[in-house]
Amino acid sequence: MGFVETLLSETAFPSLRTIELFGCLGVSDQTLVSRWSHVPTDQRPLISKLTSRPSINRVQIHVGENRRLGGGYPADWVLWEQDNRELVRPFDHP
Amino acid sequence: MHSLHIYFDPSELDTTKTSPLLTHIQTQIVDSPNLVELSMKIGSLGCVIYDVDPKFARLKRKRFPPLEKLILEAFPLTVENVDYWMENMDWSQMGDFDLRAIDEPTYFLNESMKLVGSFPQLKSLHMELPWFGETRDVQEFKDTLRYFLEVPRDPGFSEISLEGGYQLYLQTILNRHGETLKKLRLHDPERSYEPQREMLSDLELTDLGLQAPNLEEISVDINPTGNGSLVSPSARCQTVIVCSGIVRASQWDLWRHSCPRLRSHP
Repeated sequence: MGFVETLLSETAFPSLRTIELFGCLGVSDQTLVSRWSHVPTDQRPLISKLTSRPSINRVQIHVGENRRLGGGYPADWVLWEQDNRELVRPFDHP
Repeated sequence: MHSLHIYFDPSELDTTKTSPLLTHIQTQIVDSPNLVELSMKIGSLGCVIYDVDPKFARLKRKRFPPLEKLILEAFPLTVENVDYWMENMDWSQMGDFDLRAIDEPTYFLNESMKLVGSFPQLKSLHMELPWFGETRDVQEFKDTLRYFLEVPRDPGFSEISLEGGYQLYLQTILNRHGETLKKLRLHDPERSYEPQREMLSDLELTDLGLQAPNLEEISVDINPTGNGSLVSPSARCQTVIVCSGIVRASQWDLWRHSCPRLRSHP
């Protein structure tokens, strides 16, 4: 079982409601990522998979820390939230 | 007043002695018996780092109220200030320590451990770990923090957040606090130099889940294609670039986003 599959496993993490990941988008230091459209196309299935478990209500992904350390910029992130299985925040707002 | 959040402009703090501004705030704090949450942050101005060392005034008439949450960010934990904290604060209700950008927390942790029996409500620990070298002080800090986490508690912590080199403490955390943990944040920031951060492997993540079955919130580092290795993509990328004779890479998915110069794959 891979890393993401483990996180999504009801057996491994039966009570999990919130997932926060640092660095999984794999973009270069020059790429701004604050909206879904900025997420590399081939990374979208991985991130969408994180939202597929009904009991997960919040997924936040950070990227660009290397740039923050090197140039004083804040790290970027994208956030997805649902409440009682109703989507309240799609992966589209910084 | 139940909650007080203070942001200090470093240019307004005296670098060496008791600051009138800090003394004024200190007076407000001791005159607020209902205060439960205190946050004190010393800011930075762009890339300019101020070396400030504000000291508490020796007020004799009152002690700090019994805080439930204490957040210190870049606030100097000098021996003098820590001694003041320890002598003049009621720690019996302290539930949440949050120490960020603290250069020298060793003394604070050591002193806190002396009072650990007086911390029955402590449930949550957040800490940004200092950048590590291998000095004697650093080793002392590591030993102190590990011991701090090993001290038996009933119940254990429900929330732990470590930012920096957390790997040394992970097993201790899971052994002592796994059953009670509801929130766990383990984040080692990316670095612009080698060695890169280490990340949990798939197997380590599985073990973590087994040992912390009540976890509701998790924050961890991840590679673009999962964490099958403890080495980050950028570290692998640099290895490839150094080995200029390599024209094919077998883990292209892992490398390609971090390696714009890599043009060939199987």
